[in-house]
Order: sequence, then C-alpha cells, then structure tokens
Amino acid sequence: MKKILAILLVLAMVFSLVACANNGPADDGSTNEQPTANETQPTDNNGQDETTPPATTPGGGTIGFVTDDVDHWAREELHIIYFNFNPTGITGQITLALEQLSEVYNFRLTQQTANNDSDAFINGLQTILIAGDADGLIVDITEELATRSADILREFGIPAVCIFNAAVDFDGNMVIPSVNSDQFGNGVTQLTYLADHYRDFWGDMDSSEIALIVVDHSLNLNLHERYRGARATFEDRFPGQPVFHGDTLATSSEDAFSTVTSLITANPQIQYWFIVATLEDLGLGATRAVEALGIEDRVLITSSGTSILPVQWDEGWEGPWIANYAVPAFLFAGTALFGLFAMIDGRATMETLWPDTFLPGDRAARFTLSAHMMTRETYQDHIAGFMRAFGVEP
Amino acid sequence: MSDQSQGSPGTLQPEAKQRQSFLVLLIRKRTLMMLFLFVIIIAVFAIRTDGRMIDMRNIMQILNMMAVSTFLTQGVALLMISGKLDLSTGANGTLCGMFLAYVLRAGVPLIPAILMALAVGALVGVVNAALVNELNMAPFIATLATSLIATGFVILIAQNRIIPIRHPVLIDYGSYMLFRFNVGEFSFPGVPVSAFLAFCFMAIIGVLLHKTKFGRQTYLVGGNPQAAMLSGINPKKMSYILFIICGLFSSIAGITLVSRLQSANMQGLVAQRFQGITAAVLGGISLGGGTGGMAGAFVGLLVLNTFSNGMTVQGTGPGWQHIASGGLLIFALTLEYFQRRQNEKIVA
Repeated sequence: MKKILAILLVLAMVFSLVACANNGPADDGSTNEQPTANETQPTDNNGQDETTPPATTPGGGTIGFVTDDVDHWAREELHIIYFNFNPTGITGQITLALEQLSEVYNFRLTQQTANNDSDAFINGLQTILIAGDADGLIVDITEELATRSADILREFGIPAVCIFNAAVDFDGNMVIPSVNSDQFGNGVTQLTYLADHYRDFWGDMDSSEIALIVVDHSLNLNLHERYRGARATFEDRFPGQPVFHGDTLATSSEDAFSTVTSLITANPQIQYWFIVATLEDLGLGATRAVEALGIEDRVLITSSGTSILPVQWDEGWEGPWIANYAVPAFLFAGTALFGLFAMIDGRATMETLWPDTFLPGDRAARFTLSAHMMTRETYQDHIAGFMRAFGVEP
Repeated sequence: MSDQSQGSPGTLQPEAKQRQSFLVLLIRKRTLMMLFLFVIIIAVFAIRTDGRMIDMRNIMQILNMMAVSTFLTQGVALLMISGKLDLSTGANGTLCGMFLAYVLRAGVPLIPAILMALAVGALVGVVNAALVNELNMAPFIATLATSLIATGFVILIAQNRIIPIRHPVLIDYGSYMLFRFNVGEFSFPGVPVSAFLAFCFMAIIGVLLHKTKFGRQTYLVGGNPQAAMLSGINPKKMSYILFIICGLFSSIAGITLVSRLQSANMQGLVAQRFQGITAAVLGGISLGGGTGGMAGAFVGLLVLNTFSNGMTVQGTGPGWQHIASGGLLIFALTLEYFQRRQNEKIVA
C-alpha cells in the first residue's frame, strides 16, 4: 500500500509540473478577423497628458501612443511579459487590462511576480531574459531595483517599460522608460477636491473646525509623497488648522481602521474631519472606522485608485468616502504597451520615446500620467472612457 | 513498504526484489530521493520549454539564484541539526546589508565596514542564544522577537530611503562571473562569484559536520540532548556557537544581496526568511534535530530553485507557482513520514 502511495506521490508531482502550463491565450488561427488598432481606437486622446509628443508617423499617428497608426495584425504575435514586484489588487487590474488589450493588439501575455522579494525579482528578470522568449517586458519596480534591472535589460537588449513608479537611478535620472503618476499631485488633487466641495455636504459651517488626517504608509516613498502633497495643500487652504499624520505599519485596511479610530477618539474637540487615504485599502479601513464611530455626517474621505470604491458603489453603497483620485489600470497598461510596441518594432528607442517629456540627465523616456477625481456620479463613464480610448469595449 | 504485507521476501522474484529495494532506498535516503526529484523536474521542464531550461546560461542562472539562499540555509541548517530554529535570519541579513551600506556611505573603508556588518550579524546571534539559553525562551518566539527588532533598526537606519552601494569591489562581488570562456562556438557564461563562494562555504561546513568533533557534537546535541550532556558536551556553549554562526551567515547573505542589488532597501531578505528552513527540510534535516546534512540541504536548495526557475521559464502564473510550491513541500514532508516509518521498522 505504501509503495503505491509513494509511486502516486511521484506521479502527482510530475503531473502537477505538467499541469503548471502557460495559461496564455492560444493561437486559434482567428487573428485576421480581429479589428485593427486603427479601426478601434477613438479619435480623441482621452486621459493622456496634454503635452502629447509630436513624434508622428507618415500617416499622422503618434509614435508610442494609442494613436500610433500601426496594423498590429499584420505582424507576428508578440509575447509580452508583465513582471510585477508584488502582486496586489492594482497589479491584478493591470493584468486584466493587458489581457483585454491582448485581444485587440495581437500579443500573448504572461504574468510573473517576485512576491515582494528583491532578490527573486532580479533572478526572475535574468531568467526571463535568458529564456529568450519575450519580445518586451512591462515591469513595476521601485528605485532600489531600477539601476540593477536597467543593467540587466541593457545586457540583453530587450525593451521594457516600468509602470506606477519612475525607474530612476540613485541620482534621480530615468534608466528604464517609465509610465508613472504624479504622486505629490495626487495628494494635492485629493485635498483640493475636498476643499472645493465640503460645503456641498456640510453646508454653511465654520471651516476653522476642520482637521485633516492623512492615512499614509511612510515606508512606501510614493505613498508618502501623496501625504506631502495633501498636507501642503491643506496648510495652504486652511492655515493653522490641525493635521494628523496617520502613519500605518502596513498597507492593510485593519491598520488604517485602528489608526483612524485612535486619532478621532483622541481628539473629540474636532468637529469636522477631512481624511485623505493614500491608498484604497487604507481608504476602506478609514471608512469602516468612521462608520463604526457613527460620525459619517462629520467626515469626508478621499483616496486613490479604481479597485475598491467602484465595487462599493456598484453594490449601492453610500457614505463618507466620496471620491477617488483615479488613474485607471487601462491608462497605465495601455500607455506602457504602446511605448513598448514602438520600441519593439524599432521606431523608437528608450531615449527617443515620448520626447517631449524627456528630461536632462535621463537615459530613458518618462511619461507622467495625470488624472482627476472620480465620484459616484462619474466613475462608470470615467473608467469606460479609458477602456474605449484603448479600443476595448467595456 | 512492509515486507510482511507483501509476503516473505524470499518468495519474490529477483527483479521484483530489485524494484522493491530501489523504492526502499529512495524512501530511506532522502538526498537520493530529492536528487531523483531534481532529475524529474529538469526533465519535465526541459520538455515543456523546448530545451530552454537546460541551456547553459539558464543552468548557471539557477546557481546564481541560489547564492543568497545558500548562505541563509547553511546557518539555519546547522541550528536545525542541533535541534534549534532561527526565524530572524532574513531580518538579520537585511539589517547587516543596510548597516554595511550605511557605514560605507559614512566613509568607513570596505574591509572594516564588512567586519562591522559581520559583527552585527554575530551580535544578533548572541542575543538569540542568550534569549534561548538564559531565559529559556522557545527559539521560535525568541528569534521572531529579534526579527522584529532587527526590522525596526533597518527602518531607523534607512530613514525611508534606499542607500546605494557604489563600491566597485562589492558591485563585482554581486555580478562578476568566474571561469567565463569562449572556445569556438561554445561559450561558457561563467559561475557567479557569490554563488561560488556560497558553495565553497557549504562544502566546508559539510566537512566540518561529518569529519570533526564539532560536527559530531552538533548531531548529538540535536539528536539526544541528555546523552550529549552526559558525555560532557556543554549544550549551552554549542548553542551560542551555532547561533553566532547562523548570524554570521545571515550577515553574509545580506552583504551578498546588497552587492547584487547595488543598494540596500528595507525589504531586503525578509521575504526569504523561510526559504532556508524549507530547503533544509526538503533536504532531509528534521525540525526535531539530529539528522540530515549539508549535502541534503544543498539538494533541497537545488530542487527549490530549479523548480522556481522552471516555472518562470515556462511562464507559469503566480497562482500556480504558489500551488506547485506548496505541493512540493507537502510532497517532501510526506516523504519524511515514510522515511521515519521505515526507520522505525528497521529499529523494531
């Protein structure tokens, strides 16, 4: 009996290895029936920066953008790998967006992750490049991995675009083309929205009664920039009024819940609260804390993201979490993808891509996405607009 | 696997006996079983990736992947053989790497900076040993606490910033390939210097374990602490030595990581804190102590990293990677169960 079990275990192991197949879409021979980019792309440039680079193709398209006039179905299917440092809700959304884009722009997608392990990221990157199966990479890394990753990518000559963060070296110069969002501006925009709209909710009240909590995780430098932006704007708009830095140990909703609960209960003299949560998970925790304290009518919350709040709104939820700074996953994924296409087919290099936003000292292009606030009334159009802009029907 | 359940061994045909003895051998010899598994993994992935898995550059990449974890594994494997455990290796390594980057930036020359980083690693080892031996804390809890403290110090030193490593010797240590050569069409990509050093250390520790009094005492302390005391071994002293060695290896792992990344960050080796323990268990080192060796731990590392590399080359998504990795560990622990049962039968 035990012999059989031992053999079965070996067989099960072999089977599980075989079963770990690549789940990328198979070539079903239907590629010629797919719509071309030109047929599906919209005429406007929804969601992209006003300073769209002037690099154009003979047909008038813009190289490195969704308006690039390339027939993606006239070339071989590309293999794009999305290699993220840490799998989170937003990386899941990026994967989903890329999967939908792959059906429109003729590429096969593979997703890999380093599970929050720097060494595993470098090892994985080398392994992927040695395997030689990828035409291009979309990575999401932070500064500590940028220099080494750029060295490895240069050695193998495979184009890559970094999303979310600016892949800069230790001197602040871009080393991998990057599509990132303005982190300081994120905080500024959130606070400005609150400052511009609080009277819509609270009516004619004494604005000197307002205090700010920024729920931050300062170990993440990008989130901390959002905190700085929000704080600076609050101090500008409401000078001398209290600001509380809710710095959490981790980016979990539980941490935000306990931080916000502690700050509010410790300051009963404060009548009205603005809460800026630098991440949606933190926004969720802050909202639940406010609901638990029963002070929804005295608190307004904003955060950043398009994962959690839209789901709550879809389910009919209403409460103090009134708006989000929203850079949809489609905008990150689509912008990175079109930059990558231009580099893969040799019409742009990492230096010439997005030339209008190339800064002195940089060795690679940068594209900083800007966005605006989405509300319960606008979120569906906001997200769907970006999907349509990249040729995907919601 | 019982002979009784199959009838008398004398009644089996010679071929059947041979098959049975091979299976028994595989179960009894964990290292051999893991080598067998390693061959299966290589074969399956080689087929599935059209040979890309066994490309020479990829094979060297597997060795490259093993460098940091090999350092972490040897320290923790030694402790496990002596019946102890250290969960602080990842945080300790991160602290040492961060400390090295910090003192280098402050202008301390390389050699003293490395010695200081090693001293920090050893100090964490001393604290662990003191908590376990003087306050009778369970190693699991004591090292978890020091792990948290080390992480706190990392944050304080880093002050939310990444510290770059610019020293050319460290950068070479992190990326230089030894024995690189080209002969005609054939090109050998070389062995990463950090991996070469890690394997040399592992061989030395392996020899120390099997050929010296220190090694025999380590096994005896882990396998039968009472007998060790009666035979004049001081378990407390052994524990201090082994925790310090483990701290030193964590420190070397941290130095290796920052050299490879050319920077020290707060995340560091925290994600790898269980990899050493996993590799050791896969390689046959029991959590109860007294068994296993460095050869087994090395094969355990080889299996883990080959498996991970194969899945990456194949393009397996993160969901399946986690499922398969968990399956691999359950498989190894099930083997341990069969091995223990087999050994009990032999004793009986």
